[in-house]
Amino acid sequence: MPEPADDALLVRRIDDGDADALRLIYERYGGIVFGMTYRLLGDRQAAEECTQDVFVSVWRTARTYEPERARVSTWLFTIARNRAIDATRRRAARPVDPHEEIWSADEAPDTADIVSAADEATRVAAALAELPDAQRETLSLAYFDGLSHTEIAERLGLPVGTVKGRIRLALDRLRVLAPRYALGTETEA
Amino acid sequence: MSDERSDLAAAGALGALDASDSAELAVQVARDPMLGAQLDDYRATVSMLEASVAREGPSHDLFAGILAEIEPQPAASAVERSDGGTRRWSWSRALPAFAVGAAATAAVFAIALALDSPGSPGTADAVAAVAGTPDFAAVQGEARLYGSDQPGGVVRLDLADVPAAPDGSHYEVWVLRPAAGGAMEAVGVFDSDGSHVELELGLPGAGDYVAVDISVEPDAVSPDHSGTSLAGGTFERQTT
Repeated sequence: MPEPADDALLVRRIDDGDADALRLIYERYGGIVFGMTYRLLGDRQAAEECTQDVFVSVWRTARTYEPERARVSTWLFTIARNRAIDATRRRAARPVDPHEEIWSADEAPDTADIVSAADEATRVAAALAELPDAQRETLSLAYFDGLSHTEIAERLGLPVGTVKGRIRLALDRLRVLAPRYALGTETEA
Repeated sequence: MSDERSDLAAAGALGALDASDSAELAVQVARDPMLGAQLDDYRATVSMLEASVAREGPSHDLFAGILAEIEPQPAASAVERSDGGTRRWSWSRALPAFAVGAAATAAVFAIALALDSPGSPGTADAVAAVAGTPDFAAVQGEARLYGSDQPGGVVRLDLADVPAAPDGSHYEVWVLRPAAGGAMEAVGVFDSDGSHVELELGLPGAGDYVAVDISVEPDAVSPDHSGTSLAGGTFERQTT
């Protein structure tokens, strides 16, 4: 289980109160955390609040991270998973505001369904996080930002062929990695 | 199959091709079923991604919001404690109005969840005296139910001497009603700086609630009750 050495170092810096280290972790994984919480909560504002809670939790609990138990990304996505589950349950418990597009208690997804979806999202997010930096960056620009391969090439200053190659390698790798990340193959933080 | 054609299929599945390349891919797929099969494989991988991770990015100012949460708050948003220390609000976007009012009287620290305060609560349906478990014996207070016999009811907690949650954990509020089949239902989470806590939380539905429990929950584990309680109490219905 290779761990990007600088991820664990960044968490140590966060524990020392270094906000720049938190920014670097956010830049690396914030998009994935937001994407998974958005998918689970189905609402941009709720996903942003959840993502914010996740990184505030990372800031406050960095001391509890144990690098021998899990990769930083796995630890982070597990926090996101649990926060999204909590947020879903809280929303289901809130009084229904007819002007707000939230689930009423009767419409709220079953807890088991939410947990299952959250586990799947955690698995896919972990696979995304394991992509080499160059592949993940290229894929993210296409996936999250909707850029074409030409626009990505311009953004990164790379030949178009290199961008297309990275996208193919990233998808090939994801197809192999994602099934290996069934929850439990790594120790949860 | 050449890497170049595979590259085209992968970028096409991701929707990252320009119009001219998309047209070229369509022509090649029409001529070569194997390329079509490969395109389908890549589309399946993209679908797997989309099912779990939305193709949306966060707002550009989201990290600024995170920084605002973790950095010391300006004096205007801090509340002076009676012992001279400073309380800082967290999760400020979710702070209910009633808690702000209480904070202004300089005696409250609370982290509450997004919830529309219903204003005047009227008469409580039921009241529970809340007492700490042996490990948290100093905790004491009260829980009151309002409108619990209909959708939109709330539970209000007023607790004293709540210690800060242990590192890596937070507190979670649970309620018990027979209609839920004997399972505790979580209604919200909070943290404390070791002071007075006031919370108002939405109930999961109408019911004859019989008990309230506040658990100590590790930040990164199962959504189920941890089995460790800070405090709890049994509701007694109020006669009208």
